[in-house]
Amino acid sequence: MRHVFKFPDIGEGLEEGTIVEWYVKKGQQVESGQSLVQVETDKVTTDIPSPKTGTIAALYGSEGETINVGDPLAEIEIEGVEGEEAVKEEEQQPAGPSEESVEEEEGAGVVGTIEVAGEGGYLPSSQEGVEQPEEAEKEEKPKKKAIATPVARALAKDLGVDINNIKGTGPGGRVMKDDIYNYVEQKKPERPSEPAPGKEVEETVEYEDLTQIRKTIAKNMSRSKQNAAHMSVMDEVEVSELVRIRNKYKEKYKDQGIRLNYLPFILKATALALKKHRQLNSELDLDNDRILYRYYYNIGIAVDTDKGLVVPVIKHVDRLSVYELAQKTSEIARKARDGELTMEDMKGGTFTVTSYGSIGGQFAVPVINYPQAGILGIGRIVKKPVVNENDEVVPGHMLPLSMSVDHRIVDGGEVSRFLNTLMEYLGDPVTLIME
Amino acid sequence: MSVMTLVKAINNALDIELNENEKVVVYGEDVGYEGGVFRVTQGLQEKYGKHRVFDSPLAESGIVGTAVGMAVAGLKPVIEMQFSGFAYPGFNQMISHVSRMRNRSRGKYTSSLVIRMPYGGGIKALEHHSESMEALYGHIPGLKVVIPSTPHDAKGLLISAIESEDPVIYMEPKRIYRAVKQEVSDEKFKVKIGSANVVQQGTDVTVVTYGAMMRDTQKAIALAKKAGISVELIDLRTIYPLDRQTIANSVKKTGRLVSVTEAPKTFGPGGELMAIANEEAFLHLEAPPKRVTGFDTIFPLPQGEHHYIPTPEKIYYEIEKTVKF
Repeated sequence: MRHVFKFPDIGEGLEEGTIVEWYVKKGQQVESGQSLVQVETDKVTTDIPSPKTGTIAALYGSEGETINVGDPLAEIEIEGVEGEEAVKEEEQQPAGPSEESVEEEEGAGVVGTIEVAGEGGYLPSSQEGVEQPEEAEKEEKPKKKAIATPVARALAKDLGVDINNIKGTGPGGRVMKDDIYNYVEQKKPERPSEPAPGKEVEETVEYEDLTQIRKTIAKNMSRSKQNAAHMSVMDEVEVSELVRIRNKYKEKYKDQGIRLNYLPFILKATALALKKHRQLNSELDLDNDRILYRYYYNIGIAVDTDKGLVVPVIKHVDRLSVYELAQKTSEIARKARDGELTMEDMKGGTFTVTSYGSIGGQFAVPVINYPQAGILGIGRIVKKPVVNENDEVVPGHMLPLSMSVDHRIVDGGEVSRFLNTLMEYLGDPVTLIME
Repeated sequence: MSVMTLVKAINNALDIELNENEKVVVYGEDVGYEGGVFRVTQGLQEKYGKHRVFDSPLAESGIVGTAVGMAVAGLKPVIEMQFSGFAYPGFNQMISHVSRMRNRSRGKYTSSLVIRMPYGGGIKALEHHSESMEALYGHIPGLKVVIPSTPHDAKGLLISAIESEDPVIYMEPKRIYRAVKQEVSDEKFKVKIGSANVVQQGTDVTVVTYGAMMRDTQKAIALAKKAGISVELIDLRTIYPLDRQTIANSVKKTGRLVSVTEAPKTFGPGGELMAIANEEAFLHLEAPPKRVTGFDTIFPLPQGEHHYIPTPEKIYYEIEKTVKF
């Protein structure tokens, strides 16, 4: 095959050279590396070596003629290289940017190696400053971006909303934190479209967005289970006397518009028992390696509403009479039903009672209202045969109690002692007014 | 129009100015007979004579000092520091006289002169040939500092520098002296000092760089484009006075900034660019401004210099991180 040898870029960005002397003639056999021609550039006079071994088939340019880099200089007939291999050799010719040592007459080592532009080194030309500026480049219309502090951006990110969609009300249209909260509040997330009804679709599902209250419940429950070391103790107490008293006064209270159930008694008993067992009315302050004991008794009451669980708090239960407690419980039950509870009603609890007996169920493992130390679950009072002091089987009214505590603060023994105290009060309700 | 390398464009600008203004003088070490070690001033002595283009003694303090006197006397010296690493004997002259002549003389005199110097690594030279010390000059009140990245800008900026009433440090990224070519107008034209060039519009992140790092950054941007990231590329061109407006506007648009410099990190130009984002575009930031830089070390010897200069891959990594922040 025939190799066309072009005048190579010998560095320093030379564009052209002048042929001084040909060392070879047409038809002459040359070795790779053998000098073909002497070329003078504006920097050096140098010999150009043959890249191949073969026979000179043609020479371009006569002595004294100027040639440009890239112009054909010679054609060399290479024997024994045909077809694909020849093509491969052809491809090996440098095409991209190449590094060439700068051949300085002296001191080349000091200057280093300067990369010389290959085909990839071409930059698009610029007209800046040359002529009258043409009409301004059309700027692409930027997507509207919010003005906001990094704090606000982080908040929006945490809440999963795009801050660029929020209208800012701050200085200069800045998106403030309140703007983000308001936006989140108002935003009605889109429901995923329901699957097109088809004959084969029988397993219907529905996505329902979490309400704020459900989100709060979920968060609080997880937090409690992740942090507190839950431990539960259960027991039953015979409350025939309590049942009798309640039935006796039910009508009386009813006349005054108050529905008397067992809860006021249980609250009162719980408060008195907490007074005697302060660990149950405490909170673990792990950060400072200490326990916080509370000497006031604000008891939260878990109330089941159609929107979800809420826990309004009755403050200073120990100081209230059963009558006052009955008033209070009726009041908060109504408020919870009507959705009138305020943040103030929910705050400040030191212990929680959850009463599911009116709905059903006897025993449960309640989840602590973290960071409180304990929660008391009240099941349904059922009549059961009990063995009395005289070993006689008699009907009894059994109240099931399920107690969960944070075992990190409260030991098992203390729970049992607390329950014993509570059961004493409930078994003999007169004691509730004796102390 | 002619195809020019950076070297040729600078030579062309000097040629135009020497031809047009007889007050222009060009001198430095090996600048005359040899045409400079990088051949930037080649042919000029021959054309304009030894009284206008000449070799100086090997003494940078003297080169800069005489230029101060010439400038005060009304000449227009365009002097060469053979390498930026050799400039320090002249540094006292630059900071004590060049930068403050106008102020000191209450405006009666100016040091209207240009100090050219090749800078930066990547040519396998010695370590004190390879540093990027533009921050030193940018920090001196009274000096303007420019760095071109294309032959067009090299010519336009040098003509602006020579015609500036105040001293200009004209730094030449020697790594791309001959590595890029461009069609450049043969006419006289200017590129305004203090004006950055938005090379490419984009929406996701603003990338600011200059000099030889333009090439590596453009390779990184090609990678970013494949990843679907839209980059707005700004060629700073002038280190001082900084084009705060162009940078701020771009960062306001994209919300993100990555700067790419070869210079050491601490107290370097990248920090100043981050400061602009902070001061002018704080309320628009989507991610912390990021700087890709060299290291706080002496520039390595030839075997190690590829570890020092930010690579396209490293630049792309930081662009991606900033966009995904």
